[in-house]
Amino acid sequence: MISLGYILLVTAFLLLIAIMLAKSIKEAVKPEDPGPLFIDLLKTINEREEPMDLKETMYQLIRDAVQGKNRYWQTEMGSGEVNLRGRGNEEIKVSFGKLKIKKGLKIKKVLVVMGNLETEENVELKNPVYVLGETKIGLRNKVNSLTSTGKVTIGDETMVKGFIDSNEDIEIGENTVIKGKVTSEKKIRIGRGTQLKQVYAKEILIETETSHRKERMQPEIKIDLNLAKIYSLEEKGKIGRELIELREKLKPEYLKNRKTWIQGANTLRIKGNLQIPSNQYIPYNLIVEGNLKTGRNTVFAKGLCIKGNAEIGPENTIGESIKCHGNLEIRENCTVQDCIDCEGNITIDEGAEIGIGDKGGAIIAYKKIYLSNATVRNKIYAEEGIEIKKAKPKGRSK
Amino acid sequence: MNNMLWELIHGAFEAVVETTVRFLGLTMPYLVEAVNITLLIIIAIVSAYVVRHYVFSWKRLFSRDKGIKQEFAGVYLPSVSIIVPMHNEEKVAGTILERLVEMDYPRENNWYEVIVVNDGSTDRTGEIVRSYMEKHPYIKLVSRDRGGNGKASALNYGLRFARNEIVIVFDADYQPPRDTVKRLVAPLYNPEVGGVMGRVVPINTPDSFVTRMAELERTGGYQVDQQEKGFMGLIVQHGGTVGGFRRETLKALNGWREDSLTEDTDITFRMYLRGWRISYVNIAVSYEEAPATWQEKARQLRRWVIGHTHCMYNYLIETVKSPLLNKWQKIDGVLTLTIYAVPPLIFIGWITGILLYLAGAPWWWSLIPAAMFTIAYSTTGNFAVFMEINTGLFVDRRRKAYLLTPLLIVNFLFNVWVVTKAFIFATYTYIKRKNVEWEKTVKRGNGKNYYNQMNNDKNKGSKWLNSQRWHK
Repeated sequence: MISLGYILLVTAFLLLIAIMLAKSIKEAVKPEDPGPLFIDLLKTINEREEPMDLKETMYQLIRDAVQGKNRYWQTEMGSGEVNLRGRGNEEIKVSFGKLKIKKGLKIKKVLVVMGNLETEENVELKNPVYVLGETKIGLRNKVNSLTSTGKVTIGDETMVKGFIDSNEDIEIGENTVIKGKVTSEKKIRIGRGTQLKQVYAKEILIETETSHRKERMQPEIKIDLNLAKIYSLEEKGKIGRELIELREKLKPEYLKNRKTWIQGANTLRIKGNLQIPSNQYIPYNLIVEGNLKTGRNTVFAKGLCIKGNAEIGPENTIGESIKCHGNLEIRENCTVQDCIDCEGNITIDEGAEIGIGDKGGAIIAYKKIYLSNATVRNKIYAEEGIEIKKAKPKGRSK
Repeated sequence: MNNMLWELIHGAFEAVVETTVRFLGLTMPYLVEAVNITLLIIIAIVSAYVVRHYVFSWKRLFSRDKGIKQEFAGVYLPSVSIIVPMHNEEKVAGTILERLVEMDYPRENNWYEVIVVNDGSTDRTGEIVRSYMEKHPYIKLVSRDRGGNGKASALNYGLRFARNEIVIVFDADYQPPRDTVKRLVAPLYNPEVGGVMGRVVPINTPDSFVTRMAELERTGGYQVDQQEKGFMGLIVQHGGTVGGFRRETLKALNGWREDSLTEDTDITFRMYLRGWRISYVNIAVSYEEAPATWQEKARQLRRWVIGHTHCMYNYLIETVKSPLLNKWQKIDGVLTLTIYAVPPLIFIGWITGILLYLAGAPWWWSLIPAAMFTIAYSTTGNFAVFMEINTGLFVDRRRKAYLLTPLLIVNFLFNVWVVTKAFIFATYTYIKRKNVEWEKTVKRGNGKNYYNQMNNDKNKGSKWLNSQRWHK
């Protein structure tokens, strides 16, 4: 015998299903979101997106004000200055010609300078600044964000809350703190003691007090791996079809008694920690499932992937990129042709050159980057910040 | 009447069971026990899928994984050769070439080349490609008369002409944005990464109910499944298109396997088993044309199932034994390889449930397997209705598209049927060592019109379009 409660329960259940399906059928027949997911086919990667947005907004505001299009802007014409109101009701000061801001002044308005900008000591620019000319920020200034079409110089001990951007060179003084991105179309020089997070330019020069990288000695290359044998195996198609465990007699001294595979495509995989002595030549990509330490003057013709920590010895050359899952230390006068990517901290001693190959490159760290005298192309990014450390005294080497 | 019918069925069933039991020399309780144990094992296997996909969805929603960095995109630019295999693609050839001409990538010193493999086309494909070649010298046309032997064969032919360090593959019906190649090559700085894979989004969703379902499936599969596999360092499955490889890696693996119907799954496992990894780049996204009818969808799904099942038989043991995979990768590898065995398990579950009921087990016990398998299937892989698809839609900010998900039940039943049939056929062809012929998916070439229409709608201020994250 079917009870009334049972009928009610089944009816309620069926009703729920009916409501659910009714909405679905409605969406199928008369879609509110017919799809597809929208992708902008014209999108590109632009590291300078934020400053470009600021420039574009300012340009539009000024153009509209000049054409008198928007009523809600109050323009007060003065000698060489115009005050506007932006869409978010923010106050904007447009200055024509060279502008020099006196010591200790606080500017609360968004600043647009149609000429060069210079500030004296302890000036505070509380809102973004757009300069159509060169910019010189004095000592101990506080800046919100800055984009400039000309060269930018940031004085010592200045604090920047947002980004710094320029079409030309940027020079950053000592002990400066920049919390946003520093971007330039050309060159960026960074002084000692500076703390920042992300730098993007064609060339990035880190300058501390010691001199630049000294002339490199031609490395003395020893070929320990039996290359002829390996190449002949590859030609016969034996590498790649099977994972070949490298036989003991093919191994150089530092790989003896260690599990080593040639996995094809010029790649050697090694289990455990590895210490490579000085003056070695490694013609393969090296994947080390442990820690790595290398001696002086070792040349890696290809890339490195280290699952643990790594210490790259002085005057080493890496022909492609380094991926390190632990912490990475790079000793003085090393060259990395392409990229460095590290999930821990990176310490790079003086004289390093990174990203100088044809493919470009960058340094990325999930934690901190400690840098002294170095030349980097394209980009430096550290999730927890970049610190420019003092270079070691001359003559010291490990 | 009903009682009589019921007793008839019950009696017939008992007679069949008793005859079988006597024939096998077993006792009835022993058989029930055996069925119960089998069922528990199957439930355990299926539960592993459920847990796996719950973890993926949960992590996609709540964890702040560092995952695969895109910080190198645009600053690491190795030389690239793009291979586009074409077999009678006159409807779509012009669109993909237009997209590749507009691609934001350096062209100097042959740094960027496009190799179109005209694989025995009998239509105007060659003519269209030649018209682009005249204006853009980096586009190369390589033709062969005897074509249509499958994508892997065409790709291997194209690979012979590729000169650059990275080889990228696009299908002819694809529409990648200008930043796709820069984003795809970015993870390949790492010598351990041999391949890279981007996201696919169907563009022809307004075509039919089938394409709308396909879009939902892809959302769960890419936005959640692939993304989390990448974040967690598991086995990222190469989709064979919108993806790249190091040329050296391809050469070391002797290219794509031509007798495989899913050359992408095959190369995925060969790469992982030799020590390379594949990176998934969710932001390197491209439009595709999805099958628009149930017949076309069945044909595509059948090809996937057969190819994938052959890979399962080829690589399952090797995956478990591999010294280069960690334990999580091994578990994920096994679950990935056996994913198309889930629908037959569902069938077994349903049938066993009925058998148990008829054999006298409590009614609720026979419901457990049926319910379990249904839940498992709807939380797993491309058909993950409640977990992955809705998570994917949430991440994509497709709030109204949620409403469509209950109708995925139709898709679910269709998939169970097609996959089960194809899985049995694949097992048969594998045992008999029979080759299965490649079947080309039909392309209508209406993707470009949909994009133009969408762009117009966006400019008119369409609400749902403007609410999507992908604008940025």
